[in-house]
Amino acid sequence: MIRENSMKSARFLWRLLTGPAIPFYTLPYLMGLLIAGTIAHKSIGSYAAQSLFFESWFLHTGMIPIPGVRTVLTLLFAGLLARTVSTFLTFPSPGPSAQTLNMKTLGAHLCHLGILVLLLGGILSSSVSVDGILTLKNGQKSHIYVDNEHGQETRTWQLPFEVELTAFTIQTYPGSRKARNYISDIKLYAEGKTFPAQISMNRPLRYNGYSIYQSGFTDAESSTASILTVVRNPASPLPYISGILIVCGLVLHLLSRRNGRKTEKGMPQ
Amino acid sequence: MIPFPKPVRRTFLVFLMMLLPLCGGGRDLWAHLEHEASTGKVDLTHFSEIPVLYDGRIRPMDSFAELVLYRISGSKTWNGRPAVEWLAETLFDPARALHMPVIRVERPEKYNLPQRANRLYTQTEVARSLTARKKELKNFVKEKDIFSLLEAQQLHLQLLRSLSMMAPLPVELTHDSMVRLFPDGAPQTLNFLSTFPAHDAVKKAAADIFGRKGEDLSEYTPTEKGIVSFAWQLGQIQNGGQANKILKILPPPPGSSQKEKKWQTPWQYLLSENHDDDSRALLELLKDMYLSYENGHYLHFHAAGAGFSLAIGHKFCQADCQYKLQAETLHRRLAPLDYALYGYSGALAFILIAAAVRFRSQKSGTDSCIYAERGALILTGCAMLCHAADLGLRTYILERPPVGTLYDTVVFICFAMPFAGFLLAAFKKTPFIFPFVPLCAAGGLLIAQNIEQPDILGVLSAVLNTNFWLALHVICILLGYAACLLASVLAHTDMFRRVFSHATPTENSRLLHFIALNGLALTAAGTLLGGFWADQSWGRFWGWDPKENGALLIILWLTWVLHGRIAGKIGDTGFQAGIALTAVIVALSWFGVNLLGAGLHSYGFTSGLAYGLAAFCTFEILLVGSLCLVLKKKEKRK
Repeated sequence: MIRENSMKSARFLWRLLTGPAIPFYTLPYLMGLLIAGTIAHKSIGSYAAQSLFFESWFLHTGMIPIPGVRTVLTLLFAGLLARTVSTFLTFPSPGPSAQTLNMKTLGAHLCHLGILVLLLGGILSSSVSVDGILTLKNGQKSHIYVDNEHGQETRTWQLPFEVELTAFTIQTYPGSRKARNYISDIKLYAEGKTFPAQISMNRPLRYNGYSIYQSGFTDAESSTASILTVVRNPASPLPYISGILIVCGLVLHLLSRRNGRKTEKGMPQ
Repeated sequence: MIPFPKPVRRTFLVFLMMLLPLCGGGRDLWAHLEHEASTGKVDLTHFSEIPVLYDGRIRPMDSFAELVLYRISGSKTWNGRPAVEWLAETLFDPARALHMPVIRVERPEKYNLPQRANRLYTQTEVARSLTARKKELKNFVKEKDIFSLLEAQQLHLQLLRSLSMMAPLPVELTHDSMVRLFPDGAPQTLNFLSTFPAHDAVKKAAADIFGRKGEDLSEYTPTEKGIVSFAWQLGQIQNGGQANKILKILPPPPGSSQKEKKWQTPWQYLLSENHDDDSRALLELLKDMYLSYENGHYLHFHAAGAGFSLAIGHKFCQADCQYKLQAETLHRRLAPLDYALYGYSGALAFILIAAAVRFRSQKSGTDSCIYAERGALILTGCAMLCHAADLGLRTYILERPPVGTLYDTVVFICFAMPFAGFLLAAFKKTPFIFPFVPLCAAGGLLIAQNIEQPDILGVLSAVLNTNFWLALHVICILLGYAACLLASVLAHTDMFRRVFSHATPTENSRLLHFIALNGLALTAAGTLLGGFWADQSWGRFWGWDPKENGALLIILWLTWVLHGRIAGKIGDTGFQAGIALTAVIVALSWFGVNLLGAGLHSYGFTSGLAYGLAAFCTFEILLVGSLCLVLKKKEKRK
């Protein structure tokens, strides 16, 4: 009896997870949170808005805590995972159901897989990625970067190599003070060798699993210092993989709809 | 009356009506000619073409004038006159320009200035007010409006002093000892520039007099007074002009090294050590322009302006730079967007005529309808050609896709959406979309014209300065917006058709689904590309920035509507309403987040448009809600 009840509950849970209810009811809620969090940027600042709405499991508004973006995304991830698993378990299926995997639904399933990878990337990034600030003056050499969480120095990290700033240049547009590019010429000391390299806007340096970006500069009276952001994120390829999956899936889906319409009209595929 | 056959009369009528929109352009041309004839004013054609380096790129003088005037007065014209006329007067007749109300003061009561409807004040009034309240203003130094006012006042002051070395000096060479100060003889007109070779001698003579007789003027002879006064005036003019960095009109001489390739203002050239002959010749031409304008010799002014433009074209600018300047001048003179707007408006008029005829006759495809519809089609096609020409010219001038500012995005979407609608109407056999093509384009262009920031064809900030990502990400997102808006238009049309006729909801549902899916695909691809760009620039894929959230909102909304439809949770009417409301979501994402003034995407911030956006969203929600209610009632009755 107990076993039957457990089976019933498990089946109900599985149906709930794989059914359309979760995305249908959670997406409007997620949109509401997104709008509220975006508007909150103006009133409470970007850091507080992100912590309160987008990086929290629950929002403590008054007496009852309500689910935050993390909770909603986890629920969506679970639903999508269950749906994808159930799709692959029933493969191959000749049926026309939207849930089964066939050429017509391949695009949609690829999109779902892409979103799963994207959400997985987000989860992994939030747990394993490390980022910090490396500030260097001209001629300064360092391998220590500071975990700079929204302006508050919390921890220090060490790079497995050393970076020396040889020159920092601010390129401006002719006849104006508007910056066109910020360029840090550096030397990289690793494994007993020295490599010259350049970091500029939109052109980071990637070495040994670390990415170093040009993120700013300080213009103090004594000297100018270049501010570099160091990121180590083993999950960084996941968004790129997910992007490819989603775009391929959407293209396939659009093509399959087009072919489906032609078939319906009795035209050759 | 000649009894023309009916089709000929109708064709003639259609032709005449097609000319109507062009009357807008004709009216401008007529007004311009009338103004020229009545005022006998100077011809500024060549002056408008002179290249100036300003705000990061070389642009023609009229573009420079418009931008500077906008920064000083908040308007692109002055008293209904083109900005370049105002600039000519400011540069060549500064004494008069000093008393022209041109500086915009947002809160005149704060500066004890009289209340005026246009809030424009003269340089003298503003300078006097700021000087009188110097101590008090120090306490408000952090206020944005004081900074803006000071910036505008300084900008105007620099313009007034740009050519002050050519202004006549109130000095008379009364004695031979004064004439002897000039090594090559005294010049005919006395100004800072013509007396430049004698400056050292004048200053030395004045210093000698000071050394001998001290500061007591009563001890001086009339000649000594003249020399000291002369030296003092030269010092005053130099002090006022030497910091002048606005009018960078003198290009680097040909053959100068890369390091020395800097455009200079006349003051920078005059006070520098390198006085090359080519730049000196340009300065002489500028002096001719100044003197002829001042003396009312406008033909001479025109000739000197032509000489200046030609000299720069032949000796200084490279061919590429010349072509770009010509393209920008052409873009400004033709104003293709104005003609596009006239064309779209004319097409709308034809569509209304066709609708009226059809309503009266209750027959589809009568002759009158066909002529009017053809007229609308031709005008829309012509307007789209003008629109495409504008985008093409802007791309050539800027060397990048013209999608860097809010204005740019509106102009781009105004083209992309009607173009897609045009193709759909032509190839998908959905002619009912066609009336919305010129409507949306004309509406969008009107919005673009009323956006606060004018079309400045500016340079991009460092983080945006990459054509690869800009072209991929922004264009993809904008095409997504265009597809979403088109789907919304189609959904509106379908809902109206269902309310006023016996059309079924499934007639266009496949097409609606297809366009919405394309919108979702393009927006999703654009957002992902934006994430990759952010990963390249800022080291993170996603940062919950307001602009990123806006794009995500569109994706979530379309995902919800499309999945709700597939899962059977949303019915036909709900689906149409959901897609119709996509316009609200796009508007919030496109304009709404810019109103926040927060986040990393700082290029599109604007303080206006808030009321317009709120009104649009409210109207749309009420309209779609009402249509839903009517359709539900209609369904129940069935």
